[in-house]
This record gives sequence, structure tokens and C-alpha cells, in this order.
Amino acid sequence: MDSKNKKELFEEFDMEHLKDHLNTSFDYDNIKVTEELIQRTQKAIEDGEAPKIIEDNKKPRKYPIFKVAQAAAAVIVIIAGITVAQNGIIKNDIGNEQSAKKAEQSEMTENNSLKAMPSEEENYDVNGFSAKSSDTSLDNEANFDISSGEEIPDNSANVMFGTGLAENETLGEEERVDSVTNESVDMFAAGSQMTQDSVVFTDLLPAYNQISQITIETKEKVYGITDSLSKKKDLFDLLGGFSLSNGENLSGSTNYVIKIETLDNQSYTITISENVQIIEEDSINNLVNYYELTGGSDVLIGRLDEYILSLN
Amino acid sequence: MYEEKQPVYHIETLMREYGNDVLRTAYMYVKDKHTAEDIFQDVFIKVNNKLHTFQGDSSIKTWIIRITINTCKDYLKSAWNQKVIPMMEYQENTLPSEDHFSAVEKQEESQMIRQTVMKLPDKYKDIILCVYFQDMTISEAAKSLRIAEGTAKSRLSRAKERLKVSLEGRI
Repeated sequence: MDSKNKKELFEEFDMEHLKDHLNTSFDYDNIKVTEELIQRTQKAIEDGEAPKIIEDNKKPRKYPIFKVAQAAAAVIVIIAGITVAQNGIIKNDIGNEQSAKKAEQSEMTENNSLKAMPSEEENYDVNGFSAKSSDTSLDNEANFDISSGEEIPDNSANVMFGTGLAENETLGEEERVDSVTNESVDMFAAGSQMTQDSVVFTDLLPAYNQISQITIETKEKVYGITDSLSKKKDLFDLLGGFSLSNGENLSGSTNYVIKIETLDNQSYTITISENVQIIEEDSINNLVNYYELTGGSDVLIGRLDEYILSLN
Repeated sequence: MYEEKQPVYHIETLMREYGNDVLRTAYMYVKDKHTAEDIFQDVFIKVNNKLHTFQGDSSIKTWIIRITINTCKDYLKSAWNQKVIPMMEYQENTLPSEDHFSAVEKQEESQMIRQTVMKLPDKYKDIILCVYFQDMTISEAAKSLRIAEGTAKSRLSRAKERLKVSLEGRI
């Protein structure tokens, strides 16, 4: 007998005897049907007792906890998703509105800056002096107000339009750094200073009794005043009636050139045409400022014409 | 005219004839004598209630064992759900005398084989009990377990292999 057959026989033997082994084991443990069990079962059947063990597929489901939990989880996920989506949409809307507002504000600020910039550039081009003497005009001042007004959250630009210095200063104190650029702050300060720099001639010139010599040059003739203090005073009184503001260097024919020399060898050269140029010179410095006459230069020229006639 | 007469079964006769098969099969699953007796009672209540539905497609024994296995599995599921763990019976065996040494040795071997079969996974225990304990054919076992015959064959093969590995060197 070969080993394969031996193995098969061994297996068959074992498995065929499995039933015997199991029954022997059960007999040994006295696991067998008793008369009492049969009678008890018979009685249960006659009494119509129901089986104690309920079939799994007939068991009433008391509470489908897992299905309820799954449904609740699904609802929560859906609600969370909707909430997140809505928040995202709202935030996007708010963000878009804010972006649009900021874009609009920055656009207007840029426009104002562009309007204001040439004056400063020209100012630097002339002598390279500080921007303090910028030639920003009253129009620019109005633009600054607009720009400043836009920084107010409720967009009350119209309220601030054309308002004066006090409002500008108030806005400056609020320091709305997040939306006001440094440039606009500088322009703001310049605007304030410009308003303060609205001056009359006598503010820019020394006292008439400090004057050693005055030379008035017209297109036809040159007049000199050296000794007559009254004439000097008359001229200064005449000039003192006109206010000036920062202006631009406009080209055009010159009507009058008034050169004033002081006792301490300082000289002021006032060139009057469509606007006024004042060159302040001493042995060290040479400062050129440009002004615009309030109400135009025609009145001043006319008054100077009368003054020249009095000199004759 | 010839009419095939359905055999008439009496519940008491069925209990006496197949009672041990039911009780011992139940014990193989629930591993507790009293629980196995409860299963026995339930099985024959069901048999009595459904006896009129028995079509005779298989032997009455196969039908009853199928009810037994299903009832055991329902119980185990129910017990699992209720966190009720049936305890193994503790049998205090008397020390065997030298005269009965051979018999005791065989009993121990049988106990060990029974324990090994009981420890098999359910799907292997099902087919082993049906074929080698209840003497069902592969076809009857497959019907009883509601599986395909091919599945029954492969499971029986694996169950025997598993059993052989477990018993190797112990008997």
C-alpha cells in the first residue's frame, strides 16, 4: 500500500469515525434527549407556546438606531454644506462689493493724484527745492477734499466736497491709513499749507523802511526810487492790497519787473505778467516762487500804471 | 387511480427519532446544555407548526436539522445582540480508574475532537456536521445550508483540511 492510499484511508477512517467520536463525547457528557425534555416540549406544543427564540428575519426592529443615525448624519452634512456654501457666497459678495468700492476709491484717488502731480513735478523742475512750495491750486484743494471725503466709510464724498481746512485736518487725525495712501496724505498736508500760504505782497517783502532802492521796469522805461520813503510806502500799500496764492510759471509778455533791494543787500525781483514771479536773492540763496493773483493780474497792472504816472 | 400519500408525522415520534441529532447539533453551536435544550424545544415547536408545509423535497431529518441550524444561528445573533455569552459547561470528571483507562482515553479523544469541531468557523462547522454527523449527502447539505453544491464541496474540503491540521499529532 503506497503512502497516498494510506493517507486516504487515514482520512476516511478519521472522518467516518467523527460521528462516533462526537456521539461518544455527547454520551459521556450526558447530552441526550430525556423523557422529561420530550414531555416538556410536548406540553409546550399543546399549550400553544411560541418559540422563545425569534427568527432573525421576523424580529421586530425596536428602533433602527443605525439608520436613524445615518439619516441624521446625512442631514447634518447637507446642512453644513449649505451653510458653508452660503457663507462663501455671502463673503464673496461682500468681498466683491468691498473690492469694487476700493477700486473705485483708488481710481478716484489716482485721478486726484494725477491732477495734482504736474504741479509738484514742475516745482521740482524749476529749482529742485522742496515740495513745500508746490503750486497746487484751489482746484486741487477741492480735489483733495473729494479724495479725503472718499475715505469716509459712508461714502459721504459730497459732504466733504469743497469743505475747508478744518475738515481736512479732522480727517487727517483719523489716520485712515488703510485706505489713504501716503501720497494722498502728503497732498493733503500740502493742500493745508497751500491754503495757509495764501498771502499778500507785504507778507513776502520786507518793511518799506528797510528798502534801499526800488527799480520798476516797464516795457518802455525804467523807474528808480531811492530816497522817497513815501513813494516806497505808496508802492507797498498798493501791493499790499493784492493777495497771492501758489501758481504756475506761465509764459507770456512781462508788464512790470519790480526789483526791491534792502539795506542788508537782499533783493526781491517781482515779475508781473499773467501771474507773478518773485525771486528772492541774497549772497547765498536764490529762491524762486510763483504766485497767482487772486482775481487776475489786470487790476494790479492797472494800479501800477497809475502809480508809474505818479512817478512822472 | 393512484395517489401518492404523504407520510403522516407525529411530533412525539419525530422527537424520539431525531431528538438527539437536534439536541447535539444545537449543543455544537450554543455550547451549553440548557440552551441546547431550549433550542430543542423551539425546534420541535416550529416543526409542529410548520409540518403541514413540509413538501417532502428532502428527508424529514434534513428538514428538521435545517430548522435546528437556523434556530441556533438566530439564537447566537440574538445572544450577541443582547451581549449574552453562553458559558461552556464545566464538567467535573471523576478520575478514571486504571480499569477504565482505555475507555477514558477514548472519551478524552472524543471530547478533544468535539472541541476541535466546535472551534471551527461556522461555515466549516456547518458542512462537517451536516455531512459527517447528520449523514447528509453534499446535495442535501447544500440545500440545508442554502448554498451551491460546488460551494458545499469546496467548504467541506477546506473544513476537513482545517480539522486535520488541528487534530494532527493529538490523536
